[in-house]
Amino acid sequence: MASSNLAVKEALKANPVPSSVDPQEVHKWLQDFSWDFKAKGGKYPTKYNLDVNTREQFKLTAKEYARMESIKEERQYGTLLDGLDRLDAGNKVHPKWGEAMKVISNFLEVGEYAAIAGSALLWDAAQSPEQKNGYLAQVMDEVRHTNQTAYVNYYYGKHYYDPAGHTNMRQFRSVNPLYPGVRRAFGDGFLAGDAVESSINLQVVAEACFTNPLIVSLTEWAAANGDEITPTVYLSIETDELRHMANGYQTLVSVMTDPESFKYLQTDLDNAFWTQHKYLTPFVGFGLEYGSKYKVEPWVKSWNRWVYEDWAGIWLGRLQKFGIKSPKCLADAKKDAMWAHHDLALLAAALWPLTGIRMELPDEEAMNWFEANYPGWYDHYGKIYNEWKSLGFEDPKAGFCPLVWMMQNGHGIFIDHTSTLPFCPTLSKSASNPSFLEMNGKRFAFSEGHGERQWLQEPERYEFQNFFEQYEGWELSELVKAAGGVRSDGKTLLSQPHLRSTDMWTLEDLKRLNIVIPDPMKIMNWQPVH
Amino acid sequence: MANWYNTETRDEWQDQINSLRSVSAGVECLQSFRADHTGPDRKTYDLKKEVTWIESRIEMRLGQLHSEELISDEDLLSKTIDGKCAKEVVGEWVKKAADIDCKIKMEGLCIAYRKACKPPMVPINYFAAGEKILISKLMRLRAIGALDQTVEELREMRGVTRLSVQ
Repeated sequence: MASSNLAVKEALKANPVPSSVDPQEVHKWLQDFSWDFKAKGGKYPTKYNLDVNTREQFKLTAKEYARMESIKEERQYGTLLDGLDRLDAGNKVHPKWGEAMKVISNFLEVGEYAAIAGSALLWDAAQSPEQKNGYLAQVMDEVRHTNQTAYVNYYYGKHYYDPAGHTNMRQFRSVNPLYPGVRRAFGDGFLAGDAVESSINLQVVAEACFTNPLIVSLTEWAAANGDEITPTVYLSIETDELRHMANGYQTLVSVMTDPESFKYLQTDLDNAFWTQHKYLTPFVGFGLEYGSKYKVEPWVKSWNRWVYEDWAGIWLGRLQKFGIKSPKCLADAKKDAMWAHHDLALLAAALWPLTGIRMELPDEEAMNWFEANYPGWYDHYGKIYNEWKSLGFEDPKAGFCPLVWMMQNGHGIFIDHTSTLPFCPTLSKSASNPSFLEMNGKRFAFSEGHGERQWLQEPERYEFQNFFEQYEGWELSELVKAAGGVRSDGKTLLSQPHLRSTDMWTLEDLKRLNIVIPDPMKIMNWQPVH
Repeated sequence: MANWYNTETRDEWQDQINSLRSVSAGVECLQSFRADHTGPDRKTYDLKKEVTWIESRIEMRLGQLHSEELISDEDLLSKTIDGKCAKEVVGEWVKKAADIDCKIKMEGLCIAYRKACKPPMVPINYFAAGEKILISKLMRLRAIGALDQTVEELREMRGVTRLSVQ
């Protein structure tokens, strides 16, 4: 018998399972349950010593958890399958938002899935039985959330008038240049490396810092755009997040009292904040503001309130007396909150055949809103969108591709090696300080210094083949076809540069553009800087 | 239809892997592959994303050949692929780490350990436990003062060359 199974058997012998489901008895049993494996060390590496006496804040977990979650599930699925079905909610969503949800919910599913493993990693590393219980409850939550985020796409696929994309985004996202970013932040960030660093990524930054601007804002924008589905599911998810934030706080508490462990904390906090911000700030801002017809609060204001003031100011402020400081990169992150999502939106439009959604350029009303809330927006971005429109951005017969326009106008697109997101040095208004390096015969691009620093510290952690390296030499329509980017007729593209059901682009239209994917780190004349 | 999970590169390697007939040939193939294509010190990046797939196929074939040659389940869990005591082999690597207090040297040791010992070279029950000790030490060495070094110092430490487009 494997040693871990034996340990479980021995622990159960010492602490027999309760004879009833009486909440008090179950709770007492779990409190007594010691998880007393022979080797407490766990499987995974960590530089921290976790306190064996750490308490878990949610004493009610054992006796109330299943009952509480069961009621939440009944309410959520009951509303979706009964109330919202009858109201035809799937078709009352503004199409622009319905398209954005094709990527938003699908990408967030990656985060929930990775969080299952991240919480389990912490269960493995924790020494205190109560702390282990707290993490274990989170594992169960994350399983629930993975199902929920996937269910949003499933529900849309059944009830929304254009299901293509909701039905197969898991397949098509493999060629979406925006997708590796979510794998980096949520995948690697939540479950790779030091268990405590994973906790800081997942619980302290992604959950305590970003779920308010992400999930609360997302549901607000969704409701404003006619979407009752997303708030029904995501607010149910959000009710679990408080427990996870508390887990993050307890992780910090469990290592802060140990001077040896404390000296590692600030580095991990800085790196985790930049990792999560680098993806979440542009992606969420882009999804909300460019995926909506009806606007709510500008992303920069939500970000400032929740991330800058609430998290970095108040939440981290409480830890200041212990010596924890706000991340050094916070000032650059604040600049990004103003412009990074606009940079990303421009690149997403340029790469529209690879997004898997129908994407409309900002109309006049949207442009006025952007300019009013982001002064200078029109001169930088709006003019480009208008030029693309006049050149036939939407028309499949015009033969115009913004990607080619960018290359012809000297606006090269590169992939940042650390965050894995695309960037364009000549059009970026966010905190940009690009650098291009060569090491051991391979060339690397970085959009700014914080990511470059992370890579220089841990190069083996960021081994990654970017979109251009991976698909260099592919003709674009062949790649889209191979990745499942066509509708059920076998020829019309999943992605479209407009929201109409007429004049839709086909594989043939894309093929006529004759785009063969280049690797900019190879085709340009790179020379050493002396 | 072309796709990215059934490529000519994979087919060529799969043919080569299928032709392995002994543990010694498999060990040689895996060692050479890891030296050439894995880790930040690899000799070439030509195989791009195919590296992990090909490495896993060599490992699978070698594991199969190894299990066919070995009779005892006990040996599968306690001996390295060349018949040494796994506990002692891993112990030697951990011993090498004891006196290292430089993060670059420690990083080199961790990379070398993974290339030399990742299963099926050493059974996972010994390999993972050893790697946990080594990586925990590397993490500690890396975290100290990580925010104080300038990017220029880090570039120099890594020996990178800055590039620009001419």
